Amino acid sequence: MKGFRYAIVLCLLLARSSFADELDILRGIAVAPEASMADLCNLILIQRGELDKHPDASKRCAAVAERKIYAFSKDDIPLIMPVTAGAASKAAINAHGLEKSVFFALTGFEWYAVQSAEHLGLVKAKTAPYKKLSGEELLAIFETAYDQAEAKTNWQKPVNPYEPFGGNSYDEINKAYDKMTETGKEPTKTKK
Amino acid sequence: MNKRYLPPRAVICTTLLAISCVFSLQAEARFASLKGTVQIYEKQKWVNATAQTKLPSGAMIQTAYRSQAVVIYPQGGQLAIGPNTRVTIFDNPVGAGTDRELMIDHGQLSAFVKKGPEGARNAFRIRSPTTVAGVRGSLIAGRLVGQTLTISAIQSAAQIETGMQQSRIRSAELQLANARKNLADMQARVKSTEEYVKQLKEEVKTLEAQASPGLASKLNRAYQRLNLYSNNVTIYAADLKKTEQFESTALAKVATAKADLAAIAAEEKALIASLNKSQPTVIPQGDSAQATTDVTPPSLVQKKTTRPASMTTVGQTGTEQNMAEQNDVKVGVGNDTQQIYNSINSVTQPTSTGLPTLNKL
Repeated sequence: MKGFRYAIVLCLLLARSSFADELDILRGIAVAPEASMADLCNLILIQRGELDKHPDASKRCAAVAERKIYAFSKDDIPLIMPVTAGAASKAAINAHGLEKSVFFALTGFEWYAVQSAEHLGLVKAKTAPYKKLSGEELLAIFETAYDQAEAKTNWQKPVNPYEPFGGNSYDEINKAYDKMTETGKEPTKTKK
Repeated sequence: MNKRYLPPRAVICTTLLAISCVFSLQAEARFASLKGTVQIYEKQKWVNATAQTKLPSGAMIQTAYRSQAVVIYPQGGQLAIGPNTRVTIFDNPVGAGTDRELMIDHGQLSAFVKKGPEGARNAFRIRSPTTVAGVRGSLIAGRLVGQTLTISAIQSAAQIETGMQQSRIRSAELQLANARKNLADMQARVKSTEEYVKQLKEEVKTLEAQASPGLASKLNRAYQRLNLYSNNVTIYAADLKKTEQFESTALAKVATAKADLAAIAAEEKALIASLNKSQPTVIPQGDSAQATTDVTPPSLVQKKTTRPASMTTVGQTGTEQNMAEQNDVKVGVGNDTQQIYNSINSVTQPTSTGLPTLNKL
């Protein structure tokens, strides 16, 4: 029983450290003057919540290739490959299942991927597919793609903007605060 | 038997005293709830946040993917920080009301701003690198993706304007926050470059061990990058020291500025005056506006959100798209039949402007 408890604590600690790694990696990508394909693989796996499953850059890129998000050949060294707008567009569209143009769906060429990405608003108009991206640009593409995929999933689902604050309306939360000032206690959260 | 009751005035005084005691104990904001990993930048390094972590004005908070946090302010009001978000919070009490501001680097958040007592205002502003949006006693939501800040006025009207339109007052506190942000970024750059060099060295070792003639060019490239990034580490480390100096200068400036509250009050007055002068775009309740370099008014944002760009049919020509927009034939996500119809229609209808269609193929 004791061993089981230790195992749980160890798992929690490991999960926490992997999350911290995630943030370190994200901060590293954000300030990189030139992003590498290893950064792209890291970012894809972070967004999918699978970063800790794969220990190093080559295995992470192999996992990305396995999921048919971006194809790497055996001789490719992701660490020394700079990310281009074409590669990032292709990977972002594939990773988040965004809409593809007919020609991109048929050919899978990066040139058509950029056309689709322009249409989706992931990259600016007239972006060259061979343009090398900085870490910040790479993050912007993937964050926009993630955002669009989420918007599609949650389309027309009811959203309660007051939920994070523990209420269903502005007046309800305001009243709870007024109560707090009378009693000196914090308002209790009402569950939906 | 005569019972002695406290007179009402005494009761009020006691209550107020108790409240002031509670506030004096918790003068700084703190986390009301934490989910996943949330880190704050403290003493020049990122540390994991806990429920006990205090958040003084100028605290920088970052959440990971699938994580979120709710911050509670001592004088009422909450801030919900969404996943993958980095913000810096400022909280300056002004008279009976509050004056809160936050700088968002990326991500999403919403803020519950408590209605102020009569005669007092509870102001809240969201500042992106190019835009400032504000609200008083309301609920506001903001999302910064790439360079586009979307502000949703949920409870009451909000105001939004680009940074160029107003005279940007660089208070000492903002300067310090920027210096801290730069320092954190510089530390991240040094750390990631060191990590990259380490990985590259391992890769070079593997390539050397393989000693394949086909890999010679790649090995050369790896050597070049290794040299370049090893030099970069030295340069970045020197830059880091400079940034640390900037931060300590900014810290000293804040100390001076705090001593001169009158100057800050004057700055704020000027800011309010400039805000009134520049006539920012008003966002009606329940509507949204966006801003990159210019503000996109709510009517256009509504058009974009009700018919998202991702759902316009790929393969349409500009003329077809214009015609579709004018004749209101587009549909929202979820209508599968209409989507199939649209996709078939887009590739089978002949066009006059020359984009490829199935007919032409």
